[in-house]
Amino acid sequence: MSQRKATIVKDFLWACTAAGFVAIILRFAYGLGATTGLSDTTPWGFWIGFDLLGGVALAAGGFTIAAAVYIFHLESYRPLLRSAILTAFLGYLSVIFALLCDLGLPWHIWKPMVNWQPHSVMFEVAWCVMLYTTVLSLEFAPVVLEHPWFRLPIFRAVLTLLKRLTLPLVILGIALSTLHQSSLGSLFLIVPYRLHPLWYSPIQPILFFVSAVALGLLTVTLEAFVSAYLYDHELPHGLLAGLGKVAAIVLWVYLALRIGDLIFRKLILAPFNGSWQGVLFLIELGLGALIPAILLSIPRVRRSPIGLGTSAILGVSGIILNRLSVSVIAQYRPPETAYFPSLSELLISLGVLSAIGLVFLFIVETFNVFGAPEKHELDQSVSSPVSYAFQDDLWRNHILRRSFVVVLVIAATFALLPSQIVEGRMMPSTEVRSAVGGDILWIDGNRNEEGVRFEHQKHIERQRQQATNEETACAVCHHLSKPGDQATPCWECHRDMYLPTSIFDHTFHQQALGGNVSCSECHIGEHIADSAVGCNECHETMASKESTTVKFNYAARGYVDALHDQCVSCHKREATAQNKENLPRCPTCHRAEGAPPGVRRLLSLSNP
Amino acid sequence: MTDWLEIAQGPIFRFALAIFVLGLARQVGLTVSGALTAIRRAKDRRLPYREIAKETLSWIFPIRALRRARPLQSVASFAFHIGVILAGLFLRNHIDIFQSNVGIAWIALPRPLLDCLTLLAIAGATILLLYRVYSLSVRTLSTAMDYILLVMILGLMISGYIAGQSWNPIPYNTLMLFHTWGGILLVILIPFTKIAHCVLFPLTRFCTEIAWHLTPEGGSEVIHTLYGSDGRKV
Repeated sequence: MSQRKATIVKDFLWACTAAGFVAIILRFAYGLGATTGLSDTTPWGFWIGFDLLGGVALAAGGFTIAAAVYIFHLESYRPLLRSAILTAFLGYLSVIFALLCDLGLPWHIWKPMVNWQPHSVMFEVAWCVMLYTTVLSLEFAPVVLEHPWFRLPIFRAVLTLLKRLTLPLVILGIALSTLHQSSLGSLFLIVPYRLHPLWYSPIQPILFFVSAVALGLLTVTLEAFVSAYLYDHELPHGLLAGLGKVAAIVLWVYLALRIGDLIFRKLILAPFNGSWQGVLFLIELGLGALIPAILLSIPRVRRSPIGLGTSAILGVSGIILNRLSVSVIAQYRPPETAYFPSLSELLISLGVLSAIGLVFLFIVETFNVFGAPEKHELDQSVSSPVSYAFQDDLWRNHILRRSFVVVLVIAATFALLPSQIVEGRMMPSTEVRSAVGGDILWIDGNRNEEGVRFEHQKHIERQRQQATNEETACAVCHHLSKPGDQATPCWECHRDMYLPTSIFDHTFHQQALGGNVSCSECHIGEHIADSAVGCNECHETMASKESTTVKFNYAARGYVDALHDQCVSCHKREATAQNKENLPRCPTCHRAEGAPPGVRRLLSLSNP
Repeated sequence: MTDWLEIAQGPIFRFALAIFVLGLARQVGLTVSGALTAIRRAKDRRLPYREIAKETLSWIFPIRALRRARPLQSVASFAFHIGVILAGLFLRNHIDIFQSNVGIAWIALPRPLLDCLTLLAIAGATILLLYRVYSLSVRTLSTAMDYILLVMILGLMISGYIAGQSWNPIPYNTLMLFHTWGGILLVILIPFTKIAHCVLFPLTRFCTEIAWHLTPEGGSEVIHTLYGSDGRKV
């Protein structure tokens, strides 16, 4: 029976891996822009939040258990040691793989080894990942080398050497892991104005480290549950209850730090102000840390499998949610550039996770990870010819079924992924060309001859009749003008047909106003885009009171969107006011007649 | 209705193509690995590789087959295969669908030529079908899937041929809907049915030969049992 459960799980993991495989091929074939939701405003997305930060934190069980066994001599935890180190090693491998997918130029990943930049946190992170993965592989190597496959004397010699080096390796591992967990937190010290204040904290490195310890312990617990279920092992209740107790203490420390930090920064009431960030914060800390901490503090609960499992699941998801919040969800970004992970991002995460799961199951089934002595007896029983033949048939059945599943899943993924991803199409930047004409403007930004004849003069006359002040009539539509200009044409700011374009040079303004001390000239309170004052505060004639865009805005929407919005919203208002129901409908502006003859001649002269 | 056509020529086509390519690759992999396992277990490992290669090549260019016992069946089968392969792979419309999904195109054969070949193939398939129904030896060996596949391909060829003619009495889109979805179904079925011989045929001879070698002199012993001592050597 136990074989069957593991087989079903492995089939499922193969299917997920196959789907991720397709997504990985497409990602490397067409690049990040076409296959992911990432952009210049959101360069770090789901992969960084979930795979990388989450994966590193999950791996914290490795150094925690190693410290317990070798440094604090808590020998009773030794049975959990090997699987904890294996998890950490595989976790780091998956992190590296996810990172290779996420890097724009993955073949430059070796550069930090040569180009030293000791002022950069990223430099520390890169070295930590590299060194700690090496240390973990050496820490786990004895388990592999013990296997009868490696009977040669040279392997035995390496095994003896590695066993002698265990303690130095463990100490090195603890040091590197501590550095790495905290330096990942330090990365976010650089974005005080981009990260929401509930998550931005000057003690971020400490928070990351403490929460990682708790997460590592809970992951080891969950993993024991999974392998006990899959292979019908006895669940080591006493050990896991002990882990739960330590995890509860660490979670309380984490909660105290987190809340103390908020009190110190006078933000303790901020989670209750009704914003979605406040709710997210309460969910993250309440469900993900407070409830598991309370549950695990009750001896009866942490000794029952259900209580322990529930609190482990809650704690693990809560702390991974924290990593996602810090790196993705709780970061400010302009509303035009909202981020949601694309299907291929999710599939790659799923695929990498499943592949790592398969490697884990393979290693657990092949090598002596759980320290079970009956393993070698099993090997001998297999060596009779009958069971060999039986195993061969079983193996062949697995291959037949799994290859069929893999073929099916790959084909289905190709069919179901959006065509934009499968064909690698990215929205190309399309430069907008100016409108042409006089009283009647021919608006055809991309010159595909499907433009609109815009009765400019008639609109001016109508506005002049309605406007109270003739001077501001133009500003009803020309909502923002360049400094020193009046009625700047649409295409000078909305420079791309479909994509938003930047219209504000932050560095230029900063330097003109006196460098680093000039923030408060424009920003009131927090130093974020939303707190900037309108352009009119300095450039008095830029935006009119009549216009809808008094607020500061540094990104101009795509030409098509901007013009549709501008024209249609006004036409809708007028439709009800004048009782002309056809006014907001498409054919009112989009007619078949094309460009006026004079304009056509002009365009044919300019575009031969 | 055009929506259904577009789905079939877009995502569903990609699905079918991936199943086709990977499914056939899987079949080849399984066959080769199975053959290697069999060789490992065989008592007699001296395989006549040169003979196998010769036999296989003569199956690819079946000139010799025309002189055999059933010349009509051989000719019909020949016409059927040529028509199916050429019209399937080198028709402009088929290449267009392939190009819009995969981005690769190749040279197309002229339409009148393909029309002629399709007519010949339809005739060939009809003769093969009649053989299956009326020849006792063929009928005994036939399974339901043999009939289904043959009738399906016949239907696809006829519908494809009629759709391209000026006298086509059926609404074009209706016919195309049948033709496209039928074609997709066929492409999906290929790796899992006997049509997989389109990639497996070089291995057929090889695998048969291995089967005769599972015990030493097994082949000649079987022949000895079947035909007496003067049987020809395998």
